[in-house]
This record gives sequence, structure tokens and C-alpha cells, in this order.
Amino acid sequence: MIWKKFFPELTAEEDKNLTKLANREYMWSLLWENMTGQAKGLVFTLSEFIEEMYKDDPEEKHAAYERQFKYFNTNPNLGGFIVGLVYAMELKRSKDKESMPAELISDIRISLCGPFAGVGDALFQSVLKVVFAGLTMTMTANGNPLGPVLFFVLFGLVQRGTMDYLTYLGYSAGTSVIDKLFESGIMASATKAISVLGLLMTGAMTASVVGFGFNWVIPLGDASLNVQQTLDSIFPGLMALVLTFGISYLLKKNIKVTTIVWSVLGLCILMGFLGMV
Amino acid sequence: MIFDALLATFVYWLVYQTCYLFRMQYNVEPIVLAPAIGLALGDLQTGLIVGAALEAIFLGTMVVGGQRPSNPAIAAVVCTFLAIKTNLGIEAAVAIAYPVSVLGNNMGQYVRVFTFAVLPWMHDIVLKHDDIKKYRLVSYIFMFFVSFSAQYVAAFIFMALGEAAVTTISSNIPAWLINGFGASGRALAAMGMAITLNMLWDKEILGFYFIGFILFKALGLSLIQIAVLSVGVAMVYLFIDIKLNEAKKAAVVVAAPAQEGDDFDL
Repeated sequence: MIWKKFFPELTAEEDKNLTKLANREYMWSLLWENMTGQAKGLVFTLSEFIEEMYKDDPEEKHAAYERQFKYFNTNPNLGGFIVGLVYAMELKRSKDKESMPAELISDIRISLCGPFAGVGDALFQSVLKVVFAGLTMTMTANGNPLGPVLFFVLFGLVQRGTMDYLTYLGYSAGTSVIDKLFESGIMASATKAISVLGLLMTGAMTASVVGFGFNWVIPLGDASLNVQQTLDSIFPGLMALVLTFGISYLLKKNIKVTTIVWSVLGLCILMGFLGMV
Repeated sequence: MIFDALLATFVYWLVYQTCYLFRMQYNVEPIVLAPAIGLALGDLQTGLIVGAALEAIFLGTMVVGGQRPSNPAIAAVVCTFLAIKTNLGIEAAVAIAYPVSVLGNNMGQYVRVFTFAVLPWMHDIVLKHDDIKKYRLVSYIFMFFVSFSAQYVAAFIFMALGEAAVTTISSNIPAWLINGFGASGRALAAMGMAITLNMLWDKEILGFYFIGFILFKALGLSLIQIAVLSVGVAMVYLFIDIKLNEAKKAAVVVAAPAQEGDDFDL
């Protein structure tokens, strides 16, 4: 469709398939669950193509599905790139098993989704959303129906456009650039540089969304100790870091997300009962 | 009242599913939902005013790794409904937005955890029975009727019971429970961050996480400013890393011929 202009090397059939692929990217967040993130949605997106490319090889098809059911969680808009890339790699593998090791597909998938989540979640929800809401909010507050319409159309087009374009870009990278990148060793550096970006943004996001404030004063004879003030004087936002790293540690110990969620909730209510928060 | 509540719930469902289906999921915002509810209930003006007010309140709310601290969408629907259909008034309706968003979010998130905990069999449909058509059918059913059903039910209950009920619930829930819930909302946002952090875990560059944290917390930079700064840092890192790898390769190439040379020296 319109994106073909940017990628003149694509054939008409590739163009058609990529548009179809991009249009199937809506299920990720709708099938999100704690254990495998958006993997079920990703399988939904790829299923039609996997069926087609591995139709003569049931064993490989099974392996491909198994691969794609593994943990996957990223920002849906930037994630378009990963889908395009993974699709191109699967296509390559279905044509020639030797040219594309299965581990490479799994590695790319898992190593890109983290950085893209960190960067994309911040970009779309705290940069672009704020820009478009800021542009249209005054209009809306004054009772002009054009406000919400403009927000919906402009922000919506940016979201879709990013997803579509990146799907094409990912496919294009998967078919032409990726071999060269791996041979030249730039891919490892690039992945690491994106991770640097992702970590910086994840750190900033932790500071902005995670919080835990004690409302707890311990009487000590005549004086009293305000827990939150004391913690703040040591390091502002200490509890946010403690919580994030604590949960990160528990997840690494293979403790289920559901268990952690209920425990945190229970603990918070208990602390509320004891008058600590 | 019940019919209007049903209508508002239907509009909520329609807007929500449409945004997701057309891949504009971040459009599910008070600025979109409140006017839509207002339009359906015949009072667009109130919808617009409530929408703008709530958008300003919830602008900083983010979904991170599938977790979020509160649910602005449900607040937008319920508050617009109450502002139009009861004599609560716009200001009072906006004032109860935060408790509604936290209460609705908690109901939604925990029911969602349950729905998907019982679903490992979705893998089996594909991996054991090789039935991709059934997999897609189940996906569609989930998409339209299960995934976010808890928040639609919660919104309907809030609206059908009316403002009195919301106020009664809010004033009769003991303060410690509200405090506990409130604390858990922001504490659980740590889950999304931890999941992302574990994917990025790499001891060599973990320090950047703390730098990002300090930039926001101590230096008070906005996320936009930090994003620009981070891109700069990442680019510098990229070029240094490439140079280092080239140097490493060059070192190997220089070292290798010397050994080969020994073999030939007969």
C-alpha cells in the first residue's frame, strides 16, 4: 500500500502480505497474560503465514509455533519492527533450514522486545500522548467537539503509521540487512546500544510511575520518627527501587506473577490496617 | 437509569474494542471516551468538559508491561454518566474520578489475572491438536467478550447504582482499606518495570538504569528531555562499541599470522 513507496524493492505480493501482517497486529494486548506476555497475540498475528510457509513440513510448523509461544512482551507500535523481522526470518527458514538457525529467531525476538518496550512505552504514552492531548485539550474544555476528533485522528494515525512502517522496515531489514549486520558484528553493538536506551528510559519510568509512601510516625518518647521523611533524606524514591528490584528478584526465582500481585496487595492492605501507609 | 447505564456500557465497549481493532490502543483516553458517552446520552457539552478535565488529571498514567496503576477510561465513563444523569454536577463528578479509577482498575486487573490463569489450553489447541482455526476463533471470543469484560461490568455496576452508591461505598469503606488499596496501586506498577528490567538485565550496562532513575527523581527532568538525552547516550555507546569490536578484530588478525608464520618456517 502507501508504504511500498519507501521500499521500492518489495514485490507486489510481499507488499500485500506485509499489509495483511500489519493489520493482524491488534490482538497482542487483548490476549495479554502474565505468563507469556503478548506471545498468544503474536501467534495470532503470524499464524496465517506460518500455516502457509510450513504447510509441507508439519514438524517444522510445530517447532515454529513452539518458538513463537515463548515469552514476548513489548510496545505494540515499535513492536511492528520485530514482527516484520521475525516474519522475514521464518520465511527464510521455511525455504532453507540451513540459512537461518532457529535459535537466531528466538534470540532476536527476546533481545529486541525489552529495549523496544522501554523506549516505546515512554515515547507513546508520555511524549506523543502529552503532545496531542496538549494540542486538543483547550479546544475540548471550551466545548469544541473538534478537540476529541482531532486527538483521535492525529494520534491514531501516528500509532498506526508507526506500526505499519516499522513492519515493512523490519521485513526489509530481515531480508537484506540482517546477514550483513551479523557478519560485521554491528548487530551485537546495536542491540546493546538499544538496551542502553531502554535501561535509561526504564529507570526514568520507574521513578515516574512506581511509588510507595509511608504515612507512619513512630513515637520515641518525647521525639518521634517520621519514616517517610527519614527514607527521603537517605535517598528519594528508595522504596520504588526496593520494590522493583525485589519483584525482579522474585521473578528470576520463578515465582508466579499472580502470587506476587496478591502478596503485594495483601501486604499493602495489612500495612493500611496497621496505619503504616 | 438502567437502560442509560446499559447504553453507556455499550458505547464504552464499542469505543474500546474499536480502538484496539484499528490498532490505536492509546486512543482509549478520557478525552475520547467522555465525549462519546456524552454524545450517546444526549449531552455532548458535558462530555467534552469532563473529558478535558479528566485528561488533565490522568495525563501521567501509563500502562507499563501490561500493568497500570489506575484506569482512566472507566473513570471517564462513570463520571460523565454521573455528571449527566444525576444532579451531582460536573465538579463533584470529576472529584470522585480517582477513587473510581483505582477501584475499577483493581477489579479489572485481578479478574484478568484469573481469566488467563485458566488458559494454558490455548497453547494445546495449536501445539497438540494443530487446529489454528479454533485458536483464532477462541482469540476472537476473548477479544470481544472476555479480555476486558471485568471493567465493563464494573462500570455498569457503578453507573446503575448511581452516585449515591459510589459515595456510600467510598464513605463506608474503612479508611485503612482505601489507604491499603491506594498504596498497592502505585506499588504494583513496579511489576511492569520489573518485567521490563529482567528482559534488559545485563550487568555491564545496568548502571544506566540508575542514571535514568536519578535524572527523573533528583534532577527533575521530564521524560521527553530524558528520551532525547538517552538517544544521544545510546548513539555514543553504539559508535564506541563498534570501534572497540573493530580494534578487537584487528588485534586478532595481527596475532594470528605470527603463529601461522611459525608453522611455515621450516
